[in-house]
Amino acid sequence: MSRPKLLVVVQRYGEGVAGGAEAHAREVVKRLRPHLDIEVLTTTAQDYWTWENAFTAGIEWVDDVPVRRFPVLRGRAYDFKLYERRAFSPAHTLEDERTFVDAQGPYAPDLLDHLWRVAGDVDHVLFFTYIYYPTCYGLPLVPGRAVLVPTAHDEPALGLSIYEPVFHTPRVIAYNTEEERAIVRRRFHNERVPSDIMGVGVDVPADRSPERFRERSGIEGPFVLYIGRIVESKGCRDLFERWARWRAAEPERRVTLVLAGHPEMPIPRRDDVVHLGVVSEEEKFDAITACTALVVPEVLSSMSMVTLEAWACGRPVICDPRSAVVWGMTRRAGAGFAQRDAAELGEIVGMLCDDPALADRLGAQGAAFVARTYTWPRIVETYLDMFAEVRTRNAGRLSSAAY
Amino acid sequence: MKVLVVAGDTEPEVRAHVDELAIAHEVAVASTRPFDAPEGVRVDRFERATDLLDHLHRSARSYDAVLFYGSEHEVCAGGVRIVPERAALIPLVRDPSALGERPAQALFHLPRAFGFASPAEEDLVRARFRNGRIPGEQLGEEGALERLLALTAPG
Repeated sequence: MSRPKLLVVVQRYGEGVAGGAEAHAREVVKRLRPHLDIEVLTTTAQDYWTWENAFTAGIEWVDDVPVRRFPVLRGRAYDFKLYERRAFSPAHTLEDERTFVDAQGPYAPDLLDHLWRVAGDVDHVLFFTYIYYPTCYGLPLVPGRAVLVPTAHDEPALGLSIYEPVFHTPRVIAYNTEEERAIVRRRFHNERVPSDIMGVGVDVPADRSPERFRERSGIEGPFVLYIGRIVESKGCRDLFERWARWRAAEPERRVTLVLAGHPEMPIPRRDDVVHLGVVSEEEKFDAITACTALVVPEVLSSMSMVTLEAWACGRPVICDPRSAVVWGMTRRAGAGFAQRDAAELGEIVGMLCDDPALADRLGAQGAAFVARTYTWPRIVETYLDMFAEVRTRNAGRLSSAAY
Repeated sequence: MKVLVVAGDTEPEVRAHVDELAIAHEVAVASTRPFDAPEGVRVDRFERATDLLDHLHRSARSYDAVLFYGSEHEVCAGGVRIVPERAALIPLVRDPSALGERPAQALFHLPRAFGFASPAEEDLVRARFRNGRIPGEQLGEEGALERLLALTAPG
């Protein structure tokens, strides 16, 4: 008996593709591969900003799964920010919204034509990320077979009318967190669309060594850790400013802010700020295990993978209360604190440094939260249930057209 | 209740519905074609479908329910996408083959409710799209328009 067929649509895919949603898609595909016949539809782009054609168009195998790449006919418009500004202005038109989506890219109409031609031969189509061209225009072509992983957060684009069909027509929506579902429902009133909290599984290596991290980095004493791109949009400017203000008020405390990731903005030159650069997976988990707490200053996200990884390693997080998702998860997990300013940042860091048992207790609560929700066996089972539901709904369907 | 009728189709049955709705509700009509509305019903006529769609984009959320007539017309295919959470689609299917076209695919999964002209039309739409989660009313039945409004207007 043949296995059910799944198409996965995602804006970028494969080796060297950095990005939360894209990595998420690849991990899900790897886990679903033993259960389904899967093909990935994506573009030839590797970079999310330029969408420059970096891969060859056609079929390539990645992790033993066929990946069909379509060329990006227009990269992101050089004046994209202008179109974005127009679309986000209160008096914008529908044409402004369409122009925004096209200018944002990746503009790959061949992908849509292919999807329209073949979707009638597959059982389900899984779309990753609501915001880009392939999902915005692809999902409404195949709503009866569509499952959406939106990776949405509270951002201006979510207010655009052009995304109404994306959130109202799929058979099922797989949200990353309860908080993401609440944001989407508040905006779209799409409660009637079945949904589940899916997320991703968290894989933590058993071999994690705080001593190895100390030896390699030379960092002594307590430290708080930031992992990710060092960029203003991730909250790093606020973090650096608050750190400096608090340290000026309490210079005698011995504590370090350790940064791991690619720098895209200036890093403060201070004795108590250490930049490790881009680190390996082993170094990352060693650092997490050694830290007093992970600091997550990002405000806009649909999920924070590194937060889940810190909890899985038994470490607490310090986040920003404006982040509906990370702060919401932290409260539910009981696994960290939120800081709004320099004084609160200092108070929390000081408390966790002075009371390591408290930090351990919060981290353990985080580990239990991850074990309850973000495990691959549960996630794979939930996906398979979703797909079975889609097939049942479509059983006996009239199919005179291609979809 | 404030009701907007988007008349892609302007056959006599649409006028009959507007007459009935206007008895108990504040009704406005938007169309790209001439529409002979009863007294007290405002008609906004647009030269182009895109103008009508921009009008919906700006103002449709000020209505409790928006009724779209004629699934094969551009103003319905485009308009339901703008306000699905308060849209009722009365498809008035004239050409069943049009249900296989690209614009129809999302359209029949979007509205809050359907108003069907006949059981045969409902059977055709349900079999084609498997959209049973969206409730529907048979408009030939007594009180169907009021029930359709009740299904459509957000809580």
